[in-house]
Amino acid sequence: MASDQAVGQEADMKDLLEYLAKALVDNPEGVEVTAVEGERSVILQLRVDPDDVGKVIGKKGRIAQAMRTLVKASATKEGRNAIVEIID
Amino acid sequence: MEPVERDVTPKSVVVDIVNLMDLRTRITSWEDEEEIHVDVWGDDLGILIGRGGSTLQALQDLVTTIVRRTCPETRRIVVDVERYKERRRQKLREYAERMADKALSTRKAIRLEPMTPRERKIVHDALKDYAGVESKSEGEDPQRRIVISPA
Repeated sequence: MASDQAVGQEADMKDLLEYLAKALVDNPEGVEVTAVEGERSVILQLRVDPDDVGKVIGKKGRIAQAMRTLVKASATKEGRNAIVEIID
Repeated sequence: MEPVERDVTPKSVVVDIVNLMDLRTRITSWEDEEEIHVDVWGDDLGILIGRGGSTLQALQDLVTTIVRRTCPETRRIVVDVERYKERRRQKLREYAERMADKALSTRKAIRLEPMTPRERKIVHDALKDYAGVESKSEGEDPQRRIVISPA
């Protein structure tokens, strides 16, 4: 499927992850997402305030997994792969 | 995203997320005493559903967690895409009735595939008033399954 937004797709995934993380934590200013670009994949590194780490991981890692699933779905749409790393 | 001064609602969070995913959708919301429903409509929304509904489940988990953070008392939030869950429920009910018919005609108990607690509840509910059969669950999750037997 042709897309008229060939540029800036990475930003979408980055923005999505940033939005989710900020909405989940107590200290949104502490949220930082860095994108490391590969050819077919992008690694998104998420940093949050140390007090908020549990919030973005969730019980049994459920929230982290849910964020990964959603970001991956968004990447798939653009024919790419996205890896979410939570930097502790 | 720029911070916007407004209430965080299940619908507003879903709208934000699908916009960030660059999906063209229409979103409706309705509620009753127990649940708040957000329905997403549009074409090509398979990626928002995912295999076996996994992406949809992730979306619902995130929306629930985000909304409960500011409103802990919020009712159960149910997100659906193109009536996916409703269609699946209907299929499961039809399957349960077919298996009940089979149990009746063969006079033998039928053990179904393992199902999640929610799926089992749909099957039990579908067979509750079904004359001549009874359903019960056996085994432990994730292998717990329903057995339909002639009463």
